[in-house]
Amino acid sequence: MPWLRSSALLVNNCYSLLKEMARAMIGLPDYQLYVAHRQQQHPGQPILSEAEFIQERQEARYGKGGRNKIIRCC
Amino acid sequence: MSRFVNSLLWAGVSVLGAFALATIALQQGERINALWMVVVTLAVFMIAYRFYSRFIATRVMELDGQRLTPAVRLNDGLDYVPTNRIVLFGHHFAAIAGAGPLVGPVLAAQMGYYPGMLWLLCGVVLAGAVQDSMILFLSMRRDGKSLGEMIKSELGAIPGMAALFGTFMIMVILLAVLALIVVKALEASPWGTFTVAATIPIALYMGVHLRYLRPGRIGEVSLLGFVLLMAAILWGGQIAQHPTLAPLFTFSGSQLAWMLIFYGGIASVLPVWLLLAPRDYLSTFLKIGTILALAIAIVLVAPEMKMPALTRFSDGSGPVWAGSLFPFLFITIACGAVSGFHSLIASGTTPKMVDNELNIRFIGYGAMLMESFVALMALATAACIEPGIYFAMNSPAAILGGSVESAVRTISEWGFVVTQEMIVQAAQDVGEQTILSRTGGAPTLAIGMAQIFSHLLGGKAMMGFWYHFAILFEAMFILTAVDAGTRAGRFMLQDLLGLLHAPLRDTASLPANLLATLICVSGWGFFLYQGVTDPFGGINTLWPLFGIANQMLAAVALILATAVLFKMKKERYAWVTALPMTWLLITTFSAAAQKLFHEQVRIGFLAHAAKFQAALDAGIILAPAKTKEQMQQIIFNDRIDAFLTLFFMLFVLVILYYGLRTCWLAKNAPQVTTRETEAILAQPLSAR
Repeated sequence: MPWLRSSALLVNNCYSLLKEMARAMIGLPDYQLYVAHRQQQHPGQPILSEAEFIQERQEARYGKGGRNKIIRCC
Repeated sequence: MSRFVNSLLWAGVSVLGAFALATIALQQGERINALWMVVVTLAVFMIAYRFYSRFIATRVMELDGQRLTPAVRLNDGLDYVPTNRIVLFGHHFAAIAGAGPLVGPVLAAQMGYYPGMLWLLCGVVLAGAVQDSMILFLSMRRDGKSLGEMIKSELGAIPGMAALFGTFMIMVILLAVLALIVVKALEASPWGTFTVAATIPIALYMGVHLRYLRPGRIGEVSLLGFVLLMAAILWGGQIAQHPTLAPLFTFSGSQLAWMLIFYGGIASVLPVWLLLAPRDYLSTFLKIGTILALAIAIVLVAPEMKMPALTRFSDGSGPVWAGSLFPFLFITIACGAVSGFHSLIASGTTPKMVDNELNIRFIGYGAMLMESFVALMALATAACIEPGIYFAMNSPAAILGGSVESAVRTISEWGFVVTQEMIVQAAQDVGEQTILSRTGGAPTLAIGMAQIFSHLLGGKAMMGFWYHFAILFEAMFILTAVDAGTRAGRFMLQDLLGLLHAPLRDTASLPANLLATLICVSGWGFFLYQGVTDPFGGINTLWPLFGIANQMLAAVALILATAVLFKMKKERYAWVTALPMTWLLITTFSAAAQKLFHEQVRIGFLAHAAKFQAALDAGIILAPAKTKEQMQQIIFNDRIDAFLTLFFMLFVLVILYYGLRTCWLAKNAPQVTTRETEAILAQPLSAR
């Protein structure tokens, strides 16, 4: 049934968009994109694991990496 | 043909909007449904987005879809990431939406909903959304530079320094006023205090879970945190009725203030993964979810607005905050109409994530319209509360007299219907001992939200749950802001202190860290404590100071934008930013001048100080002071407030001078003088 497949695809797309948005709201970009970027643009160089990636982003958003960075409004 | 249909459609939207506006304006003492406000808002925003923001995007900014954005050019998968525009809209909106757009309109409701509504609509279309999108545009064209860096490179080093220092002082006031809102909501409320306190262990557990137990499972841990929060609200209701546990969570205002000050100091030196990050995740999702739920609930419930469109307090005699409609309405409602803080967000992470220049319009202008929509919902929610209850909650104890009888007498004298039973019943409904003088806006909004939500789900039995849910939702992101703000303030301060003594700049040095944290916390702690002990509720003093500072920052951002338009040789479009800039300068300077020199003691800081000084000289002790030392403390506080107001005025004047000078020089220069990053196009010009 093609309509079932296309609507399943639509639901799936909406779900991943919402998931990506939820992560963006808390300052976490997509990990797979980061890996793909490292592999393509910096081959052979070290790539952070997912846990390290989250730590790095947390430090950048709230910690010293975020020097003078105001992450939210009043 | 399609063009004709299109025009017809937009004409229809305009007529509908005008009809709804007329319905609200021409009502003769009848109650108006809040849905009319929604209709006006949507019509105005659609027209503004379709026409004005397009004009700004195509003519003023001349956005170029072919020009590579920093996200594409500098892509590193971390800071610079080209992001889908809908996803980025979410990121940006979550960063700009906070307590401001919820509190300001609630306080402004004392004049009736009509003036606030008009200012929100005009302000966002002509000032707020223009500022946000312009700063986002400027920062994106400069590889995501911050507002301070842009002021330094476009206007000069001195205004750059002034901007850094001014921003820090605004931050201090912001943190104080936010903390004050939490204190006022939790004072003598064991239920609220317990649930808010419970967020700390919940967040600590989430932090450990995310770091060591199941790294990376953010969805899972957020869901778990949410379930625990709901359990804490239910449990809090039990605790509030427990004879031995309830007193353990019942605190006075000054106790809560000290607790918050200690909390802020400790939380801001803990590792970020332990407390700040997990709580930020939880509060962000809760905030967005609740805002969406409120919007849906208002449409479904379609409540009537009981507050008059215009109350007698538009003359400036209102109990919630003192001062006449002009200029004080325009600084009371800051966020939602125009907010200077947004210029810091729009020059923060968002410009590094824009995947195509053309999306500036949707993200910068669109997200601000959405924020204004939130503010209008808050205004409608406050207007749906029985006015008698609204004034009972928002008038300070010094005016109401401290007892239910005196409150009823005072409010009835103002001409609003209220009885002792109504006030007692309202407190009982939400499981609180009293609702009298719960100033600060958050409890009022919580009552309104509880009324609307319980209409849909749970009925009267659930009122207490919804009220404390709403309190928790606000307290949660305010505490996150206090924690993150103290941290950001500490880094700012270390940069400033580094100018005096270089080693203080080192963020890895513990003594330097602790010193900067201590200064920052005592800064906002001072204003918080002053606000908590103020007989007029503190909000009367601190909210105008915050509003003035926030709107002045917006004026500064617009000065920058105007100067850059001149430097781009686009001075014929400079009115787009110069017009709101002028309006903000007029309102903030007249408000600041009144806060300084007005002869009424509720408005003028110096008049208040003089009254206490005269009493002190005559050997009289005035309430709330009980000793001579306290009298002196009050006089000292007034002078600090006056000094701060003066400082803010000076800070803006310095930047205004350099801004105008830059405009003048740029106008006389033969060529473009601004410094954008060089344009790199996706396709070479010849192929376009």
